[in-house]
Amino acid sequence: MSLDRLFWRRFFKHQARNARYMRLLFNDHFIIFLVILLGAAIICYRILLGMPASNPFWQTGWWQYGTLAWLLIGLQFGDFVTYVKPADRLFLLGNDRFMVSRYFRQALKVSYGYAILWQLAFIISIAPILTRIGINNVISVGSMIIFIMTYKLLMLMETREKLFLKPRTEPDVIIFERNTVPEELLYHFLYPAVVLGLILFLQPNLSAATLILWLLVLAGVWLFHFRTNHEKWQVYAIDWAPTVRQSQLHEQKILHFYSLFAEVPHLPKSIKRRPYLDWLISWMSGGRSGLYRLYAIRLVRNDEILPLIIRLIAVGIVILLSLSQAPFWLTVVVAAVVIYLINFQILPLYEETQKTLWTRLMPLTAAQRSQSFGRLLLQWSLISAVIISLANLAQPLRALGIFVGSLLMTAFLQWYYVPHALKKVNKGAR
Amino acid sequence: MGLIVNNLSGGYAGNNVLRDVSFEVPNGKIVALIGLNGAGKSTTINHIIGEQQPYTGKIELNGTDIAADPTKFKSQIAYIPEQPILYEELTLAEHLHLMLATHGKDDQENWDQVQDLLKNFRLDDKLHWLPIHFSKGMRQKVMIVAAFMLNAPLLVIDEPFLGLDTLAQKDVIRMMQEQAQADRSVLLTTHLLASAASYVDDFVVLRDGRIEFIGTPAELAASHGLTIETLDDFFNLAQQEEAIYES
Repeated sequence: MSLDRLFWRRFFKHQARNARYMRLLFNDHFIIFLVILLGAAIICYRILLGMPASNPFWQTGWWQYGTLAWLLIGLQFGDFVTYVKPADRLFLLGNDRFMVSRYFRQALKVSYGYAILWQLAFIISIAPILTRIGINNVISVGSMIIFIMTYKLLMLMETREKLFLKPRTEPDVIIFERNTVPEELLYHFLYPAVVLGLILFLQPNLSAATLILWLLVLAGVWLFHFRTNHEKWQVYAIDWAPTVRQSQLHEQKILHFYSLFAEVPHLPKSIKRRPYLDWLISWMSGGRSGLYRLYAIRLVRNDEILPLIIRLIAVGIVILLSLSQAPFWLTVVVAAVVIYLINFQILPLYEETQKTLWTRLMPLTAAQRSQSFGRLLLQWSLISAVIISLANLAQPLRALGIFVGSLLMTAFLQWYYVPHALKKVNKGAR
Repeated sequence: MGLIVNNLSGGYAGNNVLRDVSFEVPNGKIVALIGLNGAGKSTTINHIIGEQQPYTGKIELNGTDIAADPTKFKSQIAYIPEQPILYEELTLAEHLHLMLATHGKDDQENWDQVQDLLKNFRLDDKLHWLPIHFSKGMRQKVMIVAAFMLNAPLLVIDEPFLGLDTLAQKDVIRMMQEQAQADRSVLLTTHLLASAASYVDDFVVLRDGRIEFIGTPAELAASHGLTIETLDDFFNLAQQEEAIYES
């Protein structure tokens, strides 16, 4: 199979996978959430644009900084997508020349296509604000678009460049060490920020000649691209370790995005040691069984569950504080929902732990396993109840209501929901 | 007493991998389960450690039937799998404390022995490391330490030497022998027959899910016209026999 075809086959396979996850992502609940969010954003935008340009609100310099920041953030979107697999290192080892001349050529085409879509999305979304702050002449906007498109192509080419083995004898002008923060700051933020600033804000009356100049720059970059493309396959070999790593990082980024909304199989887990939380583990598991301690450690060091619980508690506090004038019963219901959601987020930890061979070999009955986990849920429910109640202590009666609502939900979960859910997992594990 | 496997038939997803498998691992003995790939060694071990339910037959350990009291049965087993499995969130020390606690062993009483084992496998300075920092061999050593520190009546080891350096291999052999001397049983699977012959009491040969032979290393060698030194050729002969049988 030619390497062009290999790339396109992988491309379509990934698109099919993306479509599958998108179907999961855009389920009924998420669509409703998205419609509400989009509706709110459009209303906010309309109110904003409804203010006349003469309003001092538009005269502040912060709009320029904000626009610049928005475009710079956009510039970071659109990775170099190669779909390279770890096994390629072995099976395609002798094909470096064709990898460079064919596979990577297709990869750059696709990556640039995606990058253009991202950049257009960012530019279009900020276009009304650009006109409001006076950037509405064709030359300035055209120059900005051409610069962004050109610079994005250069950024992709630079990423590709890092995937090649460099001959040791080749003199290399190094301003900063490769892949360091200063290098990233310079090439990804500082340089484009200066040029964009010049185009948009410091040269308001650009001539048509400037636009032509930018078009020439774009053409130059394209020419450079084809020249290096032609040269590289004859000169360079692929540095497989960073190539595989770069591809996997890109893959993980996408899967992590989907995992925010749907369960993604085979997603590599991320663990954080968090030694500063050892006291919490000791306090939580003080005097309890080994299995209880295991659940506590896994919860505290897991990179997904603990941050999620903290976020839920924080969001719960904010919502409850904003409901300070709402009917009393609504506050109690919201507190109960927060406790339910926290329990719901911790529950998968049980199944995940039971799936591990080490756990299955423990001489413990299903009841002992469930009890330990039930206690962990009880503990977190109570901790959360106390925190969200204390945060509302300015209104003592409301705080008491929040605490009682949380306790009632905890009791329901402990006596009915959790035992039922754990029993289901135990049954499935048998 | 020890381990008694009686007329065991079992498998997975409706496939009958094992057919009437019967053998014993008496206390104080080291028994090696051998056979070509796909013979049913791993399936047999999975049944013994309680990972799979037998279709028929009985598995007993010192009088405890696995079907009747799986928790008590499991409390008498220590298992070292072929591929090391660790909790990525737990440090080495936490793994060992967890194992002791769930097996009802006192931490204080057993920690001296644990320290010796750790020192033996050069892990004593890595107590607070997470598994992500361990090489494959080190992960396997963690599994070995965790299993041996339990002093369980039955030690089950699936391919004990995979990923281990020579020093560690010698240590594992010595420790298995010490287990047997302490009247505990050891069941292992291996493909290194000539070297296993020096420390194994009996070989149990599995072929196509059936027991083909049970006997001492000398008896196994004699039955195939081999010597202890050439016992590794057993698999070549077995493969040739299988090919003739299939044709």
